[in-house]
Amino acid sequence: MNREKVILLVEDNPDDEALTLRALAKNRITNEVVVAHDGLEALDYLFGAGEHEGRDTSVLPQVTLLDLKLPKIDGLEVLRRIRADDRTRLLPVVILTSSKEEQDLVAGYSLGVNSYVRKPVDFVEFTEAVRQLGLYWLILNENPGRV
Amino acid sequence: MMDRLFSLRVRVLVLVLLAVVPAMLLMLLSARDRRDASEESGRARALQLARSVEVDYMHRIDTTRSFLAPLAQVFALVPNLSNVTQTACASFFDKLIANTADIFQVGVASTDGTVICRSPAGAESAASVAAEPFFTTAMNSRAFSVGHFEFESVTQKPALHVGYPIIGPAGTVTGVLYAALDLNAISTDLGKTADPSVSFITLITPTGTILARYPNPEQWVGKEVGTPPSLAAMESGGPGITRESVSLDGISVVSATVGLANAGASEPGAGSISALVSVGIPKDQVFAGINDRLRDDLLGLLAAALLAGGLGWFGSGVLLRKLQLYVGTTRRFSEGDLAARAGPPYPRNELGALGRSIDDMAVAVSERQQEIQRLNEGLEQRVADRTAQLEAANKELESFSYSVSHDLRAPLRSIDGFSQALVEDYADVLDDEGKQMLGRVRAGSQRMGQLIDDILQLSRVSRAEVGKEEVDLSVMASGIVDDLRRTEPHREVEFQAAPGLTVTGDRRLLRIALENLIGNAWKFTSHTERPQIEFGAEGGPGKPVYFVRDNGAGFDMAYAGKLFGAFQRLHAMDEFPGTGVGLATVQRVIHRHGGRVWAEGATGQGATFSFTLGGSS
Repeated sequence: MNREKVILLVEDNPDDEALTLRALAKNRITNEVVVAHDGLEALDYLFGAGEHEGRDTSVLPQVTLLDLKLPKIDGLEVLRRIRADDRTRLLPVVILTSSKEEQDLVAGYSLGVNSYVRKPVDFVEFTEAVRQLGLYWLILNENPGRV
Repeated sequence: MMDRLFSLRVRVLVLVLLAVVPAMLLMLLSARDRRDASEESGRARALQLARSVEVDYMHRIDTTRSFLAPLAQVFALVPNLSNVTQTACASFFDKLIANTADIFQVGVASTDGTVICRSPAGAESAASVAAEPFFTTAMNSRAFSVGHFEFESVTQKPALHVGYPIIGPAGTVTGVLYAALDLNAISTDLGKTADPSVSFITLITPTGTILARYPNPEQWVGKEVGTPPSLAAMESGGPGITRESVSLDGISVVSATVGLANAGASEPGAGSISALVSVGIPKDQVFAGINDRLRDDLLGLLAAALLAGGLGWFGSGVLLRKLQLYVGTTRRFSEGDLAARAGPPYPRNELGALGRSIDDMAVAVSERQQEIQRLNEGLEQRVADRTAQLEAANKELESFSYSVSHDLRAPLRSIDGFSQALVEDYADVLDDEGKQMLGRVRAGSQRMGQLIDDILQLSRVSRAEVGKEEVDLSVMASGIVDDLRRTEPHREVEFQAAPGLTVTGDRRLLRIALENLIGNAWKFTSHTERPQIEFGAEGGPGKPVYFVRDNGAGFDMAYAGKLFGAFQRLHAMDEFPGTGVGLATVQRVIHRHGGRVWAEGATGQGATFSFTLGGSS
């Protein structure tokens, strides 16, 4: 596993944050997880702004786990801005959300999301979903920008 | 339309004719009456004229008698008539009659009929008058006598001889004085007395010899024209007869005939008529006024009829133009020209009232039309408002669903996740009962998560627009079964699908319905020994009935009505898990396709869920 790469988790709900971290841990995914609690914070992190002023923006997360319902700037807008910026255009983004509404699915894929995972209520299923995510995005998939 | 309007004119003309015909009949009838009356008066006038001729004739006879009476007294004093000097006597007679117009001859005869002397002087003497009727009658009756009409032998004039007996002092008849009346003079006088309207006056003997005539005496007097037809009637004793006839001149006349009594006859009757007087008045004369008046009347009537007909024709033309205007107006109006009006001027009659009421109606209808239009616009506005409200409500519902889907599930995930974390991290401090309880907490939260998903699907089915596309239900059903087999590979279920069941509908919604139906069959055959699921169609191609049949747990038909209600369940949770929303969702999908869904089954003997689709092909 690529231990140098961080995982950016954009999640405003502390319970979901804890459960996601737990699921990652249970699947022995030991990458550093940077948590942004709203959309603005996520963008600040990615573009080195706000409290992340001065961060080396050339270092991108291995994968971004993005919730849709977020304070300040919602998930779809964050995704739109990621895809609009050349630095982050190819950043792998997985939408990880409660919603299975078709409109969100369609909007997500049309904005260029790499994957769309619905958080199940059943924690066992949730852990399984995170495992498959980690398997694909952290182990199998080569980040195109880093070849 | 024109034909019927035209017939109005014809009717007017027929009406005029109907009015004219009785008037004409009345005129003809009254003309006939007047003609009868005129004929009557014509006959009366003719008769009166004939009588006046009779009176005139009698007067002439009387005058002659008065002339002879004193002369007879004188001759009675002559002792012997034979001794009278003939020439002296004749001269005396000539002198006597010189001043009389009627008498052209006077003579005296002895008792044996020998003419002693007579006027005119110097004329040859006739031998005897013994055979003459006037002589014998005068001798026998010793009184004035009138002889027959005859043509005098000397002058050949038409004449009437009268005789007067000379009675001597001894009382014996000593001779007979006689005189001849000139009938030509009578003819002349007839011409004087006749009024110009008279056609003819004829004096004729019973044997048919014309004695006197007006006009043209020279042509007719002395002619034999046969026994007058009126003689027979005359002899039956009538005072005079009138009739219509044709005169000798060939003129149609109304004539009257009177018989002249023989003055010498003792009593009237057969044979006592010595002559007939006929007076004729031309029919033309009699009826002249009437015919003229009838002609004038008929001409007047014709003029009135033509005037009335003409007025009716052109008057109805005015009427027809108005009618055509009104017909045209109502037609244009009925064809949608709401501005069509007959318009003033309105004639001051029923037609005008019609025109006015057509316009009133047009105004009322137009106003109502505008009112309807206004109401419609208001209605459209209201529909638009309601649609907007409905859309707003739908949007609200959508965002509500969105929130539910998002926010209701997050706490459930916390409950489930941290319960699991408890079991994992604190296994050593939890006894079995504690772990079991946490297991129940997790089951509850997962079940609630499922419920939320199902309710969201149900509401999505209600809100979603129903698309129209070709959907092969057979392929879809097989795909669903394949999915189920992947999820539960340990189950061995026999599945049969009739091929090629293609319908028109919304693919996504139909899949939800089939997923629920086949999913139910899959679920309720889980305790069955050799589970079988069948998808197929029954009924004709016009209205096929699709069905999903299984040999699973079935249900009691008594509860069939509850099957399709949301949250209605017929089985215990531990027996067959489920939320009770699936069939409600199926029913909504089918209803939204204009179809019907129903279930048949029996406890332990499987179930059949049938449905139709309104838009199926």
